[in-house]
Amino acid sequence: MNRIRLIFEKRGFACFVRHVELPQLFGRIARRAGLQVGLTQGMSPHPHIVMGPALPVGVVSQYETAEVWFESAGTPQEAVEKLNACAPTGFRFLKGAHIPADTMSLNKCFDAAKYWLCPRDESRLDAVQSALVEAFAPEVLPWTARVSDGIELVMLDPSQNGPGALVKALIERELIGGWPDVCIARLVLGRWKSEQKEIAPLL
Amino acid sequence: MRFEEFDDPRWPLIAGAKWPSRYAASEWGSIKPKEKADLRLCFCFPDVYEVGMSYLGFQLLYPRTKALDGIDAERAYCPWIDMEAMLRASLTPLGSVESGRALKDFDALGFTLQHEMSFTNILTMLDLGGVPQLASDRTDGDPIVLAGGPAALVPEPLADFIDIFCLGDGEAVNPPLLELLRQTKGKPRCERLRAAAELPGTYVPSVVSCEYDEAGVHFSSEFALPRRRVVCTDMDAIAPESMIVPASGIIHDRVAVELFRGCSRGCRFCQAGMIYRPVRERTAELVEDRIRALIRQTGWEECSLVSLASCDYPKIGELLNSLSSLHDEGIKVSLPSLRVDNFSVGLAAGLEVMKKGGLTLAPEAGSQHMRDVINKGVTDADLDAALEAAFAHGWQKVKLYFMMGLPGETDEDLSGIVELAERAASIGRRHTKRAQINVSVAGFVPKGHTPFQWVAQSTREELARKGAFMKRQIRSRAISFKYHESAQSFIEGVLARGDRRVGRAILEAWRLGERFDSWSETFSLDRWMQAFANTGVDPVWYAQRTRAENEAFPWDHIDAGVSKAFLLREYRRSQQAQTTPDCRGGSCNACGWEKKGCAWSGVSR
Repeated sequence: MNRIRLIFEKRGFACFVRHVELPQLFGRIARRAGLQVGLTQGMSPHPHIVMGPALPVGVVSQYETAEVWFESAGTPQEAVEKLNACAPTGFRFLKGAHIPADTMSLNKCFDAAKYWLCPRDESRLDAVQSALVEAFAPEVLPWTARVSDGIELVMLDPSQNGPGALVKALIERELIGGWPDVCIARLVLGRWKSEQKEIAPLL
Repeated sequence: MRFEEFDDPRWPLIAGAKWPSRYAASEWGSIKPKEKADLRLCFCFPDVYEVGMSYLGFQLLYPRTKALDGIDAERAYCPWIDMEAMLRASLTPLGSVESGRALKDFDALGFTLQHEMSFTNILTMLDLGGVPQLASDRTDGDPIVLAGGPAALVPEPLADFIDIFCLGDGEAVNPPLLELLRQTKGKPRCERLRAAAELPGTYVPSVVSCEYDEAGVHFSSEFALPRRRVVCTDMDAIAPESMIVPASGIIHDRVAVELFRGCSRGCRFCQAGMIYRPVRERTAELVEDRIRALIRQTGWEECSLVSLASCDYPKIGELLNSLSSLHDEGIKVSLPSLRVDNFSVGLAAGLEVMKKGGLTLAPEAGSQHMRDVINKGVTDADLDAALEAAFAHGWQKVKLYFMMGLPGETDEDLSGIVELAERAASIGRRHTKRAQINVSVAGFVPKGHTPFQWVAQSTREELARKGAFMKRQIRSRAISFKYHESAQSFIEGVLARGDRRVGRAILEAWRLGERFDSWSETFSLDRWMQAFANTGVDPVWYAQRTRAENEAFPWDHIDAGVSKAFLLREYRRSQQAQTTPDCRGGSCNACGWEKKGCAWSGVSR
């Protein structure tokens, strides 16, 4: 079995495709690409595909993760090319890497995610940044920065803390009315290096 | 913005929608719009995306249309009510999935009329797309509005809104019609419609007038009447080579390949069984070839062998055998409609996907008498054998579908449903303690172009009484019994046999807020009754009266292929509970297709 870790982006209206649907989608992309996905063990075998931390509907991402166990897929780069030739609108595979079978599970390989956020009403940028810093402890939100087109921020433990919490905090503080009032994108997933104030990407 | 998708004015609307994934438009297999096209057609499905993408018709017609020279096709679906409100509030017109082009900017719109309860959604789509709802209000610059599908064969309720109805198989009707619209682009609208009225398989209501009297509806036109439905006779020649796969889940999320079109069983309640004749089979080799090719092209992990009665396909056993190797590739094969007999249940038992959940059988009526009235062609022995086979093969749950309100039905016939359910439970108990029988009884809706087009639809009160009557008699705890005396069925009954005057009630219902009539959460009988009252349309007169045998119907000017004489003969036979055998068994029943190319009409009656 050839365990390949994939980095992909979810752009455009594809950000409205639910995370829970991605394993089936990836299985279909692989079949179209002529790549056979291995099956899980157990009573109900299903395609062996593991997704990274869930991304809420409506959040764009340029760095999502998945691992797929292929029966045989050639090199990771070949797999990426074949998958891209068969991916639906909005999905693009960026990188692939062979992962030894005994490597720790995907979701233990990162502890942080970096996001870009901008309210539709850009006059509220300062207020939004202040509100987020106030709403979340440094153990959850260790870093924020104003950039020319919005706010960049890092959230730790992305399986537990994600954009949903950000939006909820901003709604509670009446800075936005809901998801339509804010634009969020996930920029990268990886290990937080607190001294350098940066994330070491997964791949 | 750094991410350009956020600049799209539709983004905040989708982000605020109840179900955003239906607007994601992330697909595999859709083709970019042509940069240059003389005629741009938008296929419009009057329901939400996940329902529309499950409709095989557009999957078949979309690539064929895009392959036509100078013609391009895109698709649009009806936004749910929350999105409709947001589109209106933001003054954003409804556009296509592929390019977002507003419906008003297409040269033609092609609606499919799969059932009557989608009619108000057509008005929503036109209005949101910036197209005048009434055909008479459209000018030369507006799109030509086309409509096909089964309800186009009873077109009068929509005659005020549709420019051209397409009668028959889209593969046959569309190419010459679209070519004509391409060639006449820029000419006056009325001139183009008159030219279209000359083509086979079209009905242009604006060139046909109607008058009403006690005898019924009388149509007149300078063009030939009746308008004839056009069919494709060579099913192999129109086999699909590609399908569009949405990234999000849809209702029928699988490859679908037709085994054949049409059905010769002759169930008298079934409109599809009458209007899709004659039976036209696809060769088994081609079906297998296309299934394998489409699985590779789409990546779907399931395929369905589609038809009105797949177990009637002569080579169904061989085909399933030859497809069995797909199992090793993780592909499941399913049959959408099972005949009630041992053979069919045996076939289903060999299909892994069919073993999940319950097995569904549709005896339609409980007593042999009533099954003879409706010409269901199923005996008690067939039913017992099918039930025995189902439980023997390991199913624990069997769903049984019935109708009530059938013509001539008595309480004895209804008791037959209860007896059959109890017998099913008893057979099940012999095999497993967990046997469960789910009985569902729906009110019958008479449809045009069927032998029951003359009969009265039961009132809601009568159906409620009948449902309660049956439910009281259920004894076994293994039986779950549900019945529907649906208000929706009543409206469906009015629209299914309506004339041109019903159109104003549809428009009024829409103006009062009626949307998505097939969805119980949005349907309102009160709104419909108000619309009928406001427009002076009596719904009871359309749905709940027995029609005279010689009444001129508002669909008599549409020749679906089956003759009115045959339908009347069948109606009369139903009153005597006389069955009519399947003509594929050897004897032609002279349904109207015997001299028009039916492959089974060689044997004289």
